[in-house]
Amino acid sequence: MAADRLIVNGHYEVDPTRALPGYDTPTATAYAVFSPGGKDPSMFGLLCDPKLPLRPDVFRSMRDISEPGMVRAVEWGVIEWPDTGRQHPFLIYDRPAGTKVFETLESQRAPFADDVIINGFLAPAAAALEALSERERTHRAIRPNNLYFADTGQRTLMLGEAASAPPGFSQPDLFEPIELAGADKAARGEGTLADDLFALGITVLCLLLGRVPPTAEDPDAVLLERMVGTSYSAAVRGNRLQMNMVELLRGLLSDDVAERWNLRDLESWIGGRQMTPKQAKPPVRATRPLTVAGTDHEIPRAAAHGLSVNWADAGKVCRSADFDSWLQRSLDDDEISANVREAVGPSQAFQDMPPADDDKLVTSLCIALDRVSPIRHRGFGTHMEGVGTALATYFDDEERLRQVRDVIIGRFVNTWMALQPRSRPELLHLYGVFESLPGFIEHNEWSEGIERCLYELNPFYHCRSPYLEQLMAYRIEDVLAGLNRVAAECDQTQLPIDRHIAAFIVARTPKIEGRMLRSLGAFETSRAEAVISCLTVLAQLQKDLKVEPLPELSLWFAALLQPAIEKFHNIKRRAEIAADIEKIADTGDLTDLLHLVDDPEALSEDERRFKVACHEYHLCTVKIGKIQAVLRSRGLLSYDVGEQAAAIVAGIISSVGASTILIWSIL
Amino acid sequence: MATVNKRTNRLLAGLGVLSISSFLVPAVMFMAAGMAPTFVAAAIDRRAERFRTLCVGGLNFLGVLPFTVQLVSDGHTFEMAFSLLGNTWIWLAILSSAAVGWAIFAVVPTVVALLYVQHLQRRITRLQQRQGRLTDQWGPEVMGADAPSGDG
Repeated sequence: MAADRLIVNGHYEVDPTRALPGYDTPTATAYAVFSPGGKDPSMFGLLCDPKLPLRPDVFRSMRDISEPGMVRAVEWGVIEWPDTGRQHPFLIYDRPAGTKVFETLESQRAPFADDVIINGFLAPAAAALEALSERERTHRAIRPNNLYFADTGQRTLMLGEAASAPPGFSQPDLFEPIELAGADKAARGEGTLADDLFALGITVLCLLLGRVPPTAEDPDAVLLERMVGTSYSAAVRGNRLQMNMVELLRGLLSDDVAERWNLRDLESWIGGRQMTPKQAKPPVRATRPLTVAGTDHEIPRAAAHGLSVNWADAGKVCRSADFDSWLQRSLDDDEISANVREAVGPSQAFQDMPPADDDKLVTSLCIALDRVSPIRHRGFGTHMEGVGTALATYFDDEERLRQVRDVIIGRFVNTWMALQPRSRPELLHLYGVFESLPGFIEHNEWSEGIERCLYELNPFYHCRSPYLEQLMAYRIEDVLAGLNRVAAECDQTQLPIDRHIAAFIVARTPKIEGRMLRSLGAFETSRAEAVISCLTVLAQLQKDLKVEPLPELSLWFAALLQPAIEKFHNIKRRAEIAADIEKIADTGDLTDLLHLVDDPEALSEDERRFKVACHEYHLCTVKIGKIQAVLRSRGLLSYDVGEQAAAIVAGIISSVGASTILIWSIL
Repeated sequence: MATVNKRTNRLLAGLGVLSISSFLVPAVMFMAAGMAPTFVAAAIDRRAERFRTLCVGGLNFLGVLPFTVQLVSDGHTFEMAFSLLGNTWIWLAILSSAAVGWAIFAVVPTVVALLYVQHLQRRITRLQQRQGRLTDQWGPEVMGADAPSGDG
C-alpha cells in the first residue's frame, strides 16, 4: 500500500493526491479508490460537503442493486481529509467503464441515435429505477451531467450517483416537475418515481438534442411559462422530434402526475407498443385575470406563483375586494373555493385580517390555489419532505433558517396535507413528526428548539455541535467517541453537552427523554444538578451502547464535578471523592464516575450529620455568648458568687470554732 | 389559716427566748454588747441574703463565745459580766474576731471571682476548640447563621 493512501472502513484505499475530476458532482469531489494493494483505481470516491445532508438510505439501496443502468454503490464511511483537516463523508462507487456523457450542463455533443437512447439508456435506466422503487427509494439526480457511458464503445449509458446531496439539490428547475421546481433546491424532498420519470424524460430530450434545451434566464419566468402552457412545450420549444419520441416525451413530461407515464407504460413503449399520447387536461382559467405586481394571471396555479414571487404586494392583493371578486366570480371553481375556505376561512374573515398576518394569509392562500405545489413563504418554497433537508443545508444561513423556522411555526404543513388531492401514506409518518415541531421551537428548552427539529426531520444527519465541528458524528456512539477525542481541546469549564448534542441525543434515543436534559439550561445557576444530569445521560448511553472507555471525557467531567463534590458537606469526604474521581477518570467509565458523586444515601447521611454539626456549633456559640456576658460583669460575679462563698467560708469557720470551744469547755 | 399559724409560732418562739433569757440575763447582756460589730454590719448590709452579716456575725460570735462560756461557768453574775466587759484584752479579742469576719467578706469574693473567671475562660477555650474542630470537619458552612458576615 502506498504510504499516503487513506483507509475507509478498514478496507478501501483512497489516494488523496489523485483526483478524478471526471466523476465530480456539483457538491462532491471525486478521488481514486483502490482495492487493498491495488494499483489501478477500480472505484471512485466522492468527498462530500460535510454540511449537506446525504442520503445514506438511498446509498444502501444502490449498494444492493446490481442493475447495469446505474452506478453501483460500494461502501460509505467517514474519512479524515488531510487538506481540510477535518472529517468528511466519503461515498465509494464502482468506476464506470466509460466517461461522463455530458461533462457539464452546458456541454454539447452529437445527438444520440434512437436505439442507443431506447436500448442503451432507457431500458437499463427503467430497470434501475424499478429496483429503486421496489425499495421505496427515488434517484432524484437524473440529468445529463450525471450519466456515464457503461462501455468504452459508448453504446450504453448508466445513471450516476444519487446520495451525495439532498434529493433534487443539483437538478436544474427544468428537470423537476412543476410542483417541485418551485421549491428551493434544498427543499424538494424525496419525491416519487413519477418525479424520476419526469427527469428521465427531460434527460432523453437532452440526448436527442445533444444539449440541454435552452430556456429563459429568469427561472420564475420559465416556471410561469410551464404553468401557463406545459412543461413539454417549454422544454421542446421549436425542436423537431420524431413522432415516437414525441409520444415518449409527452408521456414522461406530463404535468399531471396521474397522467404521467409510469414504469409499465415506459417498459411497454420500450417493448415497441404504441402508446396513445395523453392529452393534458387544460387548467381552469378565470374569465378575468388577477393582477399581481403588474402581471395578469388567469390560472390559479400561476396566480399562486405570482403572489409567492411578489411577497411585498401579495398581502394587500389577497385582502382586496378584487381578489375576492376574482375568486368567487371570475374563477368560479368550487374546489378551489372550498380549499380557500379550509385554509383561511371565508373571504370576509381574511379580508379583515391585520397586515401583520399577511405572511400567514399569503402562504395559506398559495397552498389553497395550488395545493400540489410547495409551501411558499416569504420567497422560500419547500416541499413537506424538504423542510428537513433545507433546515440542514441552511442551518448556518440566518435568513434561510428564519424562513424554515417560520414555515414550521406557522403549521403550514397541516394546511398543505389537509388539501392534498390524493392520500399520501408515505408522508403520514413525517406528518406525525411535524405535529411536535412547533412546540419544540416555541418552548425552546434544552433538547428542543430548532436543533431538535433539525435532527427529528433528518434521521441520517450528523450532529452539528460546535464541539464536533471537525467530526462526522452520525450515531450516538460517534458523539461519545467524538467528545472523548476533542475533550482536551475544549473549554472544560463548560458542559460537554450543548444544545445540539442534547437535541441529537433525544431525537436519536427514545430511552432518553427531553426532561432529563432540561436542567442543563440552568448550568450557570445550578451547576451541580446540571453536571449530574449531563453525566447521568452520557453514562447511560455509554452503558447501553457498550461504548468503549472514555478517559478524556471522564477527565472533563472530573474538572466539572467540583460543584457536585461540594454537595457533600464533609471536607474529608470531599477530598476522598476528589481522589477517587481522579482514579476512576483514568478508567473512562462514566457510570462509575456517576455513582461516586450521585449517591443519594451517602448524601442524605452527610446532610443529616451536617445538620447535627451545625446545631452543635450553634449551641457552642450560645454558650460562649452567655459565658462572655458573665465575664463582662466581673463586679456582679464577685457580688453574686464571691459574697456567697465568703458567707460559706465564715459559716464553716465559725461553726467549727464554736463547736470546738463548746466541746473543749464541756470537757 | 396559714397566717394565723405563723403568728402563733412566732409568739411561742418569742415567749421561749424571753423565758430562757430571764435566767441568762448577764450572759445575754455580755453577748449583746460583744456582738456590736455584727449589729453594725447588719445595719449597713443591703442584700436580702445578708452575706455580710453572716460573715461578720459568725466570726464575731466565735470571738464572744469563749468569754460567754467563761461567764456562765464561773458564776454567771452581773459583776463578772461587767468585769469582762471592762477588760480591754477581751474587747480586743472580740473585735479582732469580728475584723476577721470583715476581712473574709472583703477578700474571699475577689479570690473566688478570679478563680471563677479562669474557669469560665477555660470553658470558652474548650467550646472554641470544639467549634474549630467542627469547622475543620465541615467547613465554614457549619457556622450557618453564626458565620461572620462578609462585610465584617
